[in-house]
Amino acid sequence: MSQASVATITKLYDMSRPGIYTVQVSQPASGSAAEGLVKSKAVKIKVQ
Amino acid sequence: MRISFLLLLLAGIPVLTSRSASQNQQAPFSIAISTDTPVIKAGSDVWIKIQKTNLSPHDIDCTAAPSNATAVDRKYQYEVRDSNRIPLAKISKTHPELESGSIWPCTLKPGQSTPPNDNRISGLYDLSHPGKFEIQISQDVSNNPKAGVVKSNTIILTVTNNTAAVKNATPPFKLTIDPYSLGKVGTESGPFVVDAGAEVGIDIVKTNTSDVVQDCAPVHDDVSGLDEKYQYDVRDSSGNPVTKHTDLHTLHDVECSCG
Repeated sequence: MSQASVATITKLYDMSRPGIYTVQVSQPASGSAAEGLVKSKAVKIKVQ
Repeated sequence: MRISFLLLLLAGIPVLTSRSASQNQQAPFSIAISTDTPVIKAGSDVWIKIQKTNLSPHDIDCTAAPSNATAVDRKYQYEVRDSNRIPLAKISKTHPELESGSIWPCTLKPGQSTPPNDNRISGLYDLSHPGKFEIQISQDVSNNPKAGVVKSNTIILTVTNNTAAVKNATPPFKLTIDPYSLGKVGTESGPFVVDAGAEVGIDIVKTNTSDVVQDCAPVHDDVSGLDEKYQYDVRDSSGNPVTKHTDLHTLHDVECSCG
């Protein structure tokens, strides 16, 4: 079972300058960060 | 009990890439291996992901040759060691010369990476008995034997009969993200290219990999619209965290004062 959502990251982060940015998303495995994070892979975004 | 979960996750993340190619030369590519299941039930198939990245300024070959019998890419050399660091022997085949497979042509441009392709390493080695195993792979830099080899990072695999240990070590869900902008969606083969000033977003897919219900109700931030249940890590090319828009705080202050 999967749930999809979208996030416009440039609304929050300033990625206006040219360069290669790395974006990764994480979430606590079970509601508490102390119990470990589940992380996505890191994706690269090249702004030119 | 879940404290060990993060450590076990880290065991599956590529952290140490060594290059046996001439130490004085920059290797033309790197190899990263990982596994989603660093702790696995004895008798289960063991899959590792292999990702090759072009570090050179020119195109390089990434042709894959998956074996039909073992489901591993024959373009790589595999090494598995037990807890005493003794190399395991490969499963002997009655007629290895009859082994068939496919050829998947592939070229990587500078900076590009292959997707993290799955390889069933338990097709090559008997990993059905409990124990800890080190896995590393390598590939020749070129057909010239003097050019050396590129080695991957090493990952640790734990094979156990303890079902609870397997459950505790397995993430309860998986997060997959893909960037998008102006109707284009990124691929895993290289950086997603956008023009400066363009709006950039990410598709986030949360997949339940456990046998319990996972909360997936979004909580959207009033100002940015981002789902607050996720943590976002955005870094520049130097690895430094990217600053957040300062005008968002101003906007937020205004909204609060109006409320």
